[in-house]
Amino acid sequence: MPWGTSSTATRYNGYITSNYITTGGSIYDSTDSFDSTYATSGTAGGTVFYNVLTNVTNATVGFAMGFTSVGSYTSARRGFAPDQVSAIRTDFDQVKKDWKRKRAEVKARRLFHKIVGTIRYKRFRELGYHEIVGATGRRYRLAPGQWVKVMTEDDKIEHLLCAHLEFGIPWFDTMIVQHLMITSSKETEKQFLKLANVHDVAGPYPIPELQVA
Amino acid sequence: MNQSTCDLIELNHSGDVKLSWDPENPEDVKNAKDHFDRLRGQGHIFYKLTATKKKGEKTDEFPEKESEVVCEFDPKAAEVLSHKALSGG
Repeated sequence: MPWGTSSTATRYNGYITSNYITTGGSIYDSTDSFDSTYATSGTAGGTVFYNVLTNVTNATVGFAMGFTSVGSYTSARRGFAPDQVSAIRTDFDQVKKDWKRKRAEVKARRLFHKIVGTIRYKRFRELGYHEIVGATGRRYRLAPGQWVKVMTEDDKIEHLLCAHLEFGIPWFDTMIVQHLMITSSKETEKQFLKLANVHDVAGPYPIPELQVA
Repeated sequence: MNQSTCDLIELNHSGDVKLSWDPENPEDVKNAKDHFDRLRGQGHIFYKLTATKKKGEKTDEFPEKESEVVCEFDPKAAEVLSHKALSGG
């Protein structure tokens, strides 16, 4: 398997266990699972945790990659961290103003054309998005600089996925990698789904309790 | 595209950088393999790309490419693309 070596670490006095996959010395993937007794441990952090989990249905907390539940709590998702918003804004400014970056984007777009083929590239130019069917049969829409849209059978957006290359690398390169990961094999598609952060179409708000008339 | 050379395309901040080698030239192959191993040590992931001609595609158009993940260097692979890992955002 090309993804690297697995290792485990515990944090917060053993309440949270992180499973890492490292490759080339970098963390490629991590999954946090937590002991639900942390929420009732009486510690300051545990109390905050308890309040978040009992008052917000789809909790958005600042863990690295989201976490799975132990006990009765459901999976939570990560929201947009302020430093990441700032990094994206800086990156988009570069795309608009820096001629080297503009040249890189043009180069990346040409490579994208060569990889997806002229027929699909023309379709992308017409529609503004690149639609692909993954190896598992799910349908996705990709667009440069945007979250990946996971589509339902009746053409609605089910949810959004965010996974990208390092900021500063052209967005068309990110699209190439997303295309390759999703279409190459079931294993690579599942790896993509595992590492991508999931976002609601409407964002973390409104919460379901406020959607009742 | 020159049929007698193979390409390793590395995605980076400039868009992409291409390393070409002649599969019949042992020195070329060694340099390419060393580069491949260096990128793999940096955590790069590699896809072997294969052009597939589909019905309806004209000869002056780019064909769509199929891809598969590769872990080892293949000196005869016509086109290999490498990239660093994606991160969730």
